[in-house]
Amino acid sequence: MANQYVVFQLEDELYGVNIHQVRGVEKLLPLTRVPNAPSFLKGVCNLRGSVIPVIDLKERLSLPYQEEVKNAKIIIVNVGKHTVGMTIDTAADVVSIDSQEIEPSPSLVGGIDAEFIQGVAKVRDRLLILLNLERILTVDQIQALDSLD
Amino acid sequence: MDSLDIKSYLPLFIEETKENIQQMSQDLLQLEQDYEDTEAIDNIFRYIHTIKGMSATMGYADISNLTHQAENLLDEVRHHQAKITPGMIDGFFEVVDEIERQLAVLESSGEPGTIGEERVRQILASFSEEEEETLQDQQETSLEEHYRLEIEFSNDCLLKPARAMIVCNQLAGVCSKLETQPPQGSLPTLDSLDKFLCIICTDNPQQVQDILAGGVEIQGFTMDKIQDDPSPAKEEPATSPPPSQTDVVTATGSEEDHGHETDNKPEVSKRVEPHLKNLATIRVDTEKLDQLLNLVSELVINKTSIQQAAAGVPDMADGVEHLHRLTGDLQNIVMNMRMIPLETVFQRFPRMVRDTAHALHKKVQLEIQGAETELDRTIIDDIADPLVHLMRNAVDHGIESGPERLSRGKPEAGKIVLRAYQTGNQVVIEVSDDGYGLDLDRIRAKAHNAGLLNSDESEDSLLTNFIFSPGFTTSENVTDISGRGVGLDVVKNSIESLGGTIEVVSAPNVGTTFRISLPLTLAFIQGLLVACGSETFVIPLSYVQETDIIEPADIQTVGHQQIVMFRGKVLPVVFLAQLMGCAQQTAQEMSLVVVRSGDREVGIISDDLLTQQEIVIKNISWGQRFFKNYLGSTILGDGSVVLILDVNVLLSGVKFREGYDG
Repeated sequence: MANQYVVFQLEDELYGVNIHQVRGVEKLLPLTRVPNAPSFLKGVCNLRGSVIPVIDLKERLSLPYQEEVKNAKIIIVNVGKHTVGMTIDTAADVVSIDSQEIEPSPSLVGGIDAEFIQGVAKVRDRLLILLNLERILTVDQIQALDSLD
Repeated sequence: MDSLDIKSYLPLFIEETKENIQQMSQDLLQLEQDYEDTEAIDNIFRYIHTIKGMSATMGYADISNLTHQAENLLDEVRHHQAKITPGMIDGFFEVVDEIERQLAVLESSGEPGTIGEERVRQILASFSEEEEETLQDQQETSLEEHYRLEIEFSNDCLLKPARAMIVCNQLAGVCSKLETQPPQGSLPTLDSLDKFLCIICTDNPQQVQDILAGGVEIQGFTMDKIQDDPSPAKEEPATSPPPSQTDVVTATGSEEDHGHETDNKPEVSKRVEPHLKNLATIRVDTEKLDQLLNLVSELVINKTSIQQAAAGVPDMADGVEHLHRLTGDLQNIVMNMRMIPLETVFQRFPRMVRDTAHALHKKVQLEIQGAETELDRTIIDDIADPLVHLMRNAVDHGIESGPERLSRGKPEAGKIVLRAYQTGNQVVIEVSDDGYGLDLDRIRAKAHNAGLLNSDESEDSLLTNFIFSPGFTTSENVTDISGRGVGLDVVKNSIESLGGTIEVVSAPNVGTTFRISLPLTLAFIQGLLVACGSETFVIPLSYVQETDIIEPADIQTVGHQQIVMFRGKVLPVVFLAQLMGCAQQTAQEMSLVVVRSGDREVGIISDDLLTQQEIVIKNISWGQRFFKNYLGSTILGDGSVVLILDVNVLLSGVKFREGYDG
């Protein structure tokens, strides 16, 4: 069974998100900072009249990065009944991947915690990291990690 | 309260009752499939109970009476004293039909019709299984008479012959003889049908009229008694029988009703119009209202950018000005569509409390506070029923009888306070009485008997929660008003489905308070926009006591607490920039916003006060823990998002050093 994935780039790696969870890709909208929130919560933005939180995906995945990317985009995803935006460098493509082609992730891919990864697949000789959005955007346990107070 | 006020609820009552009977019909159908379906029984019970309560509130005694009788029967089933029978299902459908008919009367005339003792007895008779027997009884005791019926179907009725067949089938049940023109046998072959004539012989003209009046797509009908009928009982020819006259459906006032009985007007025929004018209100899915609101705020934002782009272009000035006014009007309408004051719900209670207290021979004084508190329309719609329950409970169970109150050293008249207020992001509605208070021992015993309780050692706070369990009542008597134990679990379910909570606080001999907290979803508030560095925040105006301009020199430190002297008093202050982690500006002038948080006043110091305006709260559903300091967010005219401070939560995290005012 094949699923379609939206492919985007963060730094040098390619990542994929199941297309059913993607509402769209937007240019980086003006963000309002949320004081006292963890650093991966980049802010909130106005998406056509709704206010949605925007996650800095690199921060969330603990990816090392140098500087803000010009022309960064926001990928809008649905998790459960929530809508959340995530910053990405560029959106590339939509690919179809057969579930048999997906391999379980090695314990650490490019420094990302394995629990955030659904699996990896080869697409046109490049490694595509398929993200587990539920885990990435479930923030109930986050406070313990970030110890906000 | 005069009848005009009640009338303003008529469309709402009709809408809600229609919904209730529709759902009741569905559950009846389900029950017909499985007589043991207790969920369906409970649901039907609730619908009947709600209709009873609402119709009693509106003052429609006949509907209330009918539903009360039906409720009694169903209550026996719920307590396993009776079993569901096919006759009972039919009976309940009869009740549904009768309520539908009454609604049609209300819709057309605005005045309640009368059901009549005869009809109620008849409906109740249909509950018993021995249907043939009751029919026979009726035939033995009453006189049959011949009538000529002329039935006219509405123009938009597509299959008139088929309708006619349905009418024939319905009439066959109440008529011993039925001849039609065109003949029944030829009906299926006909393409069209202008007039439909029937000669019937029946002992129950009233039911014939009811069937026709309630018939779908029947525009009107005439019913004449046939004169050469050998009926010595009737003195006047061509007079419709007296029982039907009390049921005449006209727009005349109810005062004329008693006149009909003595005044045998030779009203030969009458025309009933079951097809009614459209309602002045319609119900709209709030999701659509949400979408509309989102679209309008988006439009406003777009308008702002067009305004900016068009500034200095002379040709566009008029057009932009027009656009500005149109979007402003649109925005106002959309906002007004959603928010209504609780007054619209509270208005009905003075009358209801009065009537209820009167029926129970009690004296009750009602005090209403905060009726101007605004709530989202959806919440207003759904809060009415639970409040009716709570108010009735308060009068019936809460308040003692006059002599008993006097013997307890209380004033003879009981007092019920209905209070609404907004606190933080919640609207609280309280129903308090100064009566008995909850009888914990009785609740304990009941809970024990019902198997809800294992030991006798449950805590009081747990015990009070039992009153929200289905079927739980501590009342000894089932009355017309309350005491069946359906009320409170319905109340709890309704409120929880609104995302709210209900709690009860009670003290013996002091009284009981039910406190309903409702979320302020998509509410509008007046907000004060304050600047903090380059950022903007909203402080809800409801928190704000006063504002002022101060200079850095005004701020003193007492102990470790920063304070300002304000109106001769010591006011502890906090810097918004510090709380929010904004870049602090060192200006010569700063803004002081005095807010009330809990029981203390605190000054919030920001760089500048920008404006005061109406704010649409936009909730952020994801990651609530990160937004606990905020009531939500809002979108300003320029499209930017601004966070709304929840002052209570924000300041609860600030430690004020004691001793500053010592």
